[in-house]
Amino acid sequence: MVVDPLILIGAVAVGGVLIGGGVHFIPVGGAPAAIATATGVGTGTAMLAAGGGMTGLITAAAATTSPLWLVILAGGAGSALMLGITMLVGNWVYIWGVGCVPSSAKVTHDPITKYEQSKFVTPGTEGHGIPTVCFVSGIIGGLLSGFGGALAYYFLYYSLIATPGYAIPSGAYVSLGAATLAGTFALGLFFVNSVIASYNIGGTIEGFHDPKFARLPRAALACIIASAIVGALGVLLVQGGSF
Amino acid sequence: MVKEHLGPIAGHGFIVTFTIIGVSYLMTLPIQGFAHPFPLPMLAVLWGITIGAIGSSTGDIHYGGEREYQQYPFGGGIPVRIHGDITRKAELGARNSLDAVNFCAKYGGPVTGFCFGAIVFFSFWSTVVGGIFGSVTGTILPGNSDSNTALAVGTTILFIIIILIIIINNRMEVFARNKYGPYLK
Amino acid sequence: MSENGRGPNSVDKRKPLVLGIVGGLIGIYLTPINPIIGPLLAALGAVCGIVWGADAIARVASYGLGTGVPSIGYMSLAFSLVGALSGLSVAVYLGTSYTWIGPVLGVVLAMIVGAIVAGLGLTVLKMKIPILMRCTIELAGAAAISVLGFSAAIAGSYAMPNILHSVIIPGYIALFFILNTMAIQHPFNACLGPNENRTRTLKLAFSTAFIAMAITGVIAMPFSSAWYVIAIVGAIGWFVSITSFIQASKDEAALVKWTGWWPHEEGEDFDKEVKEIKEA
Repeated sequence: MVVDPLILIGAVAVGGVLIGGGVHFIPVGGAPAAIATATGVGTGTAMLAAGGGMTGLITAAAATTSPLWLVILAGGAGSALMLGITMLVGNWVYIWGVGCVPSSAKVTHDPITKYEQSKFVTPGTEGHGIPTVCFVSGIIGGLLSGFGGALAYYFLYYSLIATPGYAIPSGAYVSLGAATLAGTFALGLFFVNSVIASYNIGGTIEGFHDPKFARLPRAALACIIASAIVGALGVLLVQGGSF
Repeated sequence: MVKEHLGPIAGHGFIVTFTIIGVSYLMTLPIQGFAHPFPLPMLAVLWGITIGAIGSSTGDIHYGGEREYQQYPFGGGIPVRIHGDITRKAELGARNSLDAVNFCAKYGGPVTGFCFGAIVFFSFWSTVVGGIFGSVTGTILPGNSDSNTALAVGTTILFIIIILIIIINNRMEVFARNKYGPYLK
Repeated sequence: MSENGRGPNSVDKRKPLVLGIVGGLIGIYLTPINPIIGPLLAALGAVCGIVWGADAIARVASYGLGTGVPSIGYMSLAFSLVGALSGLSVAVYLGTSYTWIGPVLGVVLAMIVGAIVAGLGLTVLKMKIPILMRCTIELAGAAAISVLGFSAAIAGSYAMPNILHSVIIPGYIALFFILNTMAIQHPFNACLGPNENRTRTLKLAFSTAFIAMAITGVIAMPFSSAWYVIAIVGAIGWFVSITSFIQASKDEAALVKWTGWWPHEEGEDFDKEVKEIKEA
């Protein structure tokens, strides 16, 4: 399979937008969440998105020789799985460790379960824990960013193995050099886009019901340009296989 | 303090590094379900970033949360506007960062470890459990339709687990709402 | 706040820049001269790059990015790594007589991407950090030099085929991503605060850079005959710099005194008081 350079750039740009958009869905509260005064997971945006993306990359790469749809689905599943378990265990600590009810002060009622929120929020805080709407939003974010990373990985891998330098050695079914380079490239793409998205969010976001979610188009624009540039570097990387 | 802390830090760092390298080494072995195409250092970096994110997101909560019992029933967090107030009621006796760690070690630490363990465990289901339905590729077998079936089944299992996690979380939320009730003014 | 960070406590911003660019590139370009001295010089070049990057990150992060110090480090390492390898790849594409262009092109490509991303941050995301552009470009260059330097130290050459064989296929490239991020972002992340002294931060930067160099030396074992030289020089450099950092911290601390645990009697007093309260 020969990948056209323009398709590679396009795939990386789309992957970057998916990652940058996915980060906006992930409920992160930063340091305020770590002391249970804000809704979301108590860590930084870029770190949590990247952690989810790494698990997605591992599951996606385990499916390297499979067709595109399977690689993308595997990436999304791994990423969403990591975020889901992290949010679930985070909620354990909030409910049985800190002893507070998952709730959000940004909405009066949970848009999915219609549970009332305001009564359960500690006065003076923005909420605590991860209520259902944030949880579902986080799963969607994990899926999107996993899809994005897997997309970039898949296309760079197949561009690389078409060159003599990275060709699959006889007797093996995977080119180690191409898989590593494509994986590192996807890892870099994850960090670039999640940091751009976290600059746009500016600290905390709760998911798609948060007013800050309206800033998504700006981040999408920034991510698509930055990812297209990184994709162009990917095309240059492929040229390096011609020895 | 420096001398007392360096030992535990080095020890815990050793345990984490050792186990991550162990997992990564297992993943590179040519066994059905493993045989990952990434080399060992790359896998170790990926798992390392993941465990960093998990440790920061679940372990931190308890670390920050343990001071909160003294102000309100059911914890609930000290509001930001009174951060910096002088604490009037607190536990008595010698208290330093070692105590906070001791408190975390009883709940936050094991739970964080469980979280990473569950992620590693379930993320293998796409290849290991899916591998029951056909040989999964990796570095040993070509991408034939057999392995695609296996991976498709494995990925479906992951999606089912994700839906189950959403339901479990919702049950937990309902439990907390019923048990703790609305906030008392 | 001056453009250079925090007024009297900062170093001249041109010094780390010159150290990073000149020292880094000289180190990388001298790699092929000798199988022992060359890789050592490349690793020292990477150390220069890390110190430059630590200074750049200290300047930009004094403004408060809203997401913590490490995020910009991760981001610039990410695109610099891709940019640096792309530069080497273009050199391969041009032919064997153009191998020399690789490192410079890698650094320049990384800086171009850094400029574009910083421009996006300033225009699209409307971040209000005046020195974001300059510092992101510097950071990208420093990160590219550090990755290229350590890669060349392991491969013994800065040509892409050698680096592919001994850095990318074994997976060390992902290790350099995280290792150099830590070395670049840790000094300021650890030292930030109202009393941050840039000279002290840079001493810590030297120590993180040298310990990264020592680790590079150890992992170079299967591929380079110079591994023990790199590891030993790195370890000595780390020892010297961490000692001077600890000394600087002690000099600047108001008072470091171990007060000991409080007297044992207090507990008994407390028990007595409790008894008295109960009896009353």
